[in-house]
Amino acid sequence: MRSAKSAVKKSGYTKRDYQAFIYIAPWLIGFAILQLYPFLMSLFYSFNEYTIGAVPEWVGLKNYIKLFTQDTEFWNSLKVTIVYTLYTVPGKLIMALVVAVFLNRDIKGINLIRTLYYIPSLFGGSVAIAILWKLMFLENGLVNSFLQAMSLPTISFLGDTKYALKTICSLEIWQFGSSMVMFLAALKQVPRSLYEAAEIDGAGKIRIFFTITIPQITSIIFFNLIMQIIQALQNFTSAFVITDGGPMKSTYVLGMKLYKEGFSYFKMGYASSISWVVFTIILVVSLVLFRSSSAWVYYEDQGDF
Amino acid sequence: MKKKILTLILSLSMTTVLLAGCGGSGDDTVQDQAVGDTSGSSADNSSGAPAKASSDGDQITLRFAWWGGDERAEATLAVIDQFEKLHPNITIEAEYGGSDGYHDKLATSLASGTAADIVQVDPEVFPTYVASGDYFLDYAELGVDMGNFDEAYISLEINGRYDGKQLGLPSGISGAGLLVNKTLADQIGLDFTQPYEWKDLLEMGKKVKEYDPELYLLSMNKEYIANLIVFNYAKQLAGGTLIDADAKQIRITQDQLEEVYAYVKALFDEGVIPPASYQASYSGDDLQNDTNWIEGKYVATFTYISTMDVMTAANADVEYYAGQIPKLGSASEAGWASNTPQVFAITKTSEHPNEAAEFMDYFFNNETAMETLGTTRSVPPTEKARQICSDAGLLTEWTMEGANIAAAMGGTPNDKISSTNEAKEILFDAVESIGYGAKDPATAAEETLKLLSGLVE
Repeated sequence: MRSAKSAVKKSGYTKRDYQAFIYIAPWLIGFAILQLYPFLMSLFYSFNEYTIGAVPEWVGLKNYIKLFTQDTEFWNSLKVTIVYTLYTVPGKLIMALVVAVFLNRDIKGINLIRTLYYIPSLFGGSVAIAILWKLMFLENGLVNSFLQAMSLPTISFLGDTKYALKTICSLEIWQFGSSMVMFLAALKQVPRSLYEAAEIDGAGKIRIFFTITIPQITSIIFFNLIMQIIQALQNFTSAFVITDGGPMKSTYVLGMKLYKEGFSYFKMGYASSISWVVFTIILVVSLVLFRSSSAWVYYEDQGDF
Repeated sequence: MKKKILTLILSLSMTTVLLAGCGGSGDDTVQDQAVGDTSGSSADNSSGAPAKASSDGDQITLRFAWWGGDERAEATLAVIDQFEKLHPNITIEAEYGGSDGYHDKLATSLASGTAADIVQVDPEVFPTYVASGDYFLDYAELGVDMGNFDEAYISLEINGRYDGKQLGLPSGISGAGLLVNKTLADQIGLDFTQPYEWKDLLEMGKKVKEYDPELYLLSMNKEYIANLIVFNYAKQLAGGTLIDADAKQIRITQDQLEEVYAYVKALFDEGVIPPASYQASYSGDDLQNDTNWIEGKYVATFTYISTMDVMTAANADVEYYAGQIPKLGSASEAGWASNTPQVFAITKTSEHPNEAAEFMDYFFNNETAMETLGTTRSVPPTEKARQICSDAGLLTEWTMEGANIAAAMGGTPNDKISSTNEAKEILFDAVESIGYGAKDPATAAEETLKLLSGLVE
């Protein structure tokens, strides 16, 4: 049967297959115009000096050279972005995993509790939530009022260079709900038989967690890791709204630098080159992670799919 | 067969919904673009011709963009209403919001040809737009009556006249001033009605601290320190604008800049202004939300005349007046300049430039409009409007006082290089690092000059 089919099928696509393109044409057109075109144009602009409104002037690698050798802000922003990612991603993953394990039980009202934990992540990069966060952490804001009520010294969350970045990270970590839901689903997939076998052998809860649960859900961990790293490296909203890159540029992530260069200083070419540097970093990190995944990620179907 | 028909209907309705959803706004932009090209050329042809009467019966829509607070929005919307009643075939869509991000959005919309028909622009950012593209129409060519304006005022480049073309109309007379909380100042015994020098502020700051350590003399943030204190002190010291834009040279010397920064450091150290970490939460045009100001813990604040009313509204329980602004005893250059707080321009991509010009004519020349607009954009630019406003009691005394004081100073407005965002950012960063004690004035001055010279090339 199989060989007969392949004997009939000539190389290339049949008429039937072309129909498929018609069905996905709307998406293809959207992708081409809204994603592919800007993507390629920004690469083009990064090799030009392009003030908004003027004609782009080809300057070759000048923008990139200036970025790496003359721009002191760039290295600081790079460091800030990486530190931000290093705080947010593990923070989010660990919170999500721990809470998922706790909520992986069948008591009354568990669905409501899970929903409550999930809601913050629905807000995404919402500006309103960022403003709310800012108000909460002001010198005379909500959090400091609590600290004062408990006779603790107030902390200048937004004004102290030591705390500003952590405050922004906490906003991101607070939105761990979506990862938590995925972990919950993954936890349910772990075969009960494994747990039972371990309990019979007398393994403790912690041991079971680290040797059975975690290895079984590594595929979901891997997915969350990649998605969140990509998101964290591009972060802009919270830094812009809450601290405006300050204090002393301690929250001046690359996303913000790119915005300032492009829209406040009108240097579109330079901004495009920054965005391509960010893209390259994300690309390299993702590739490295994918490569390493064969060593530690476990897929139920042995990764055949 | 039935299944096939059902599938067909469903897929068609899904496609329609999709297209309807994203087609709505998309159609307008495409149309605007297409028509924009033709109207651009027709505006060029109508040189010298008086504004044509709008084609009756044709429903025309204009888009008008501005930034500002609630009071300004209310007044502007009222004027729009009045105009729409007089011209039933013209509808004006108001696009307004806060100042944060307004110019970033405007820059993008100008470059993409989707800007509103009439736009309000910061006169310090306007030169950048004029230089980078041909975006605006000449009011003289559109036949707008500019007789009410003082020729000496509208002929200034910063007020909209570039190369002989009136690309923007000034919306008011503004400058910086000192808003004093009279109630508190009298309690402590401070008087700002007599001329004083910069160093006197340090003395006054000490007095405030002795009176009550919780209070501060001035409400400030890094942007206002840079824009109002650093720029003006520096201009007075250097005898002119920080940078000589025509000669492409930096005028201020490192020693002079160091003196200015040392002064800023003293402001922080002596507690004349709140600590830098506190200021971080109220950056930009956000001083009116500072809870300390609202609670009346500051004696005064340097601010812009056009937004004095915003500050007084935040804490309406006390009395205010506009104080004198400091000057170096020996300075020939007064530093403090007054110019328009905003300019209004009609964009080239407007499909109905003549109707837009008619609206601007009404906005600036009609007496009812003048009264309605009042002082929401600072002291009105025309003598007529000022008279109407003060008769109607609309001009708050402190705004009028502040405008008079600023105008009497007669300083030179900032040059176009040091007023760009990039140059200002350099100064904001320097002020911030001094405030946090990360850099001492000497190092900061050296770095600032180095970075500024990168902009002058």
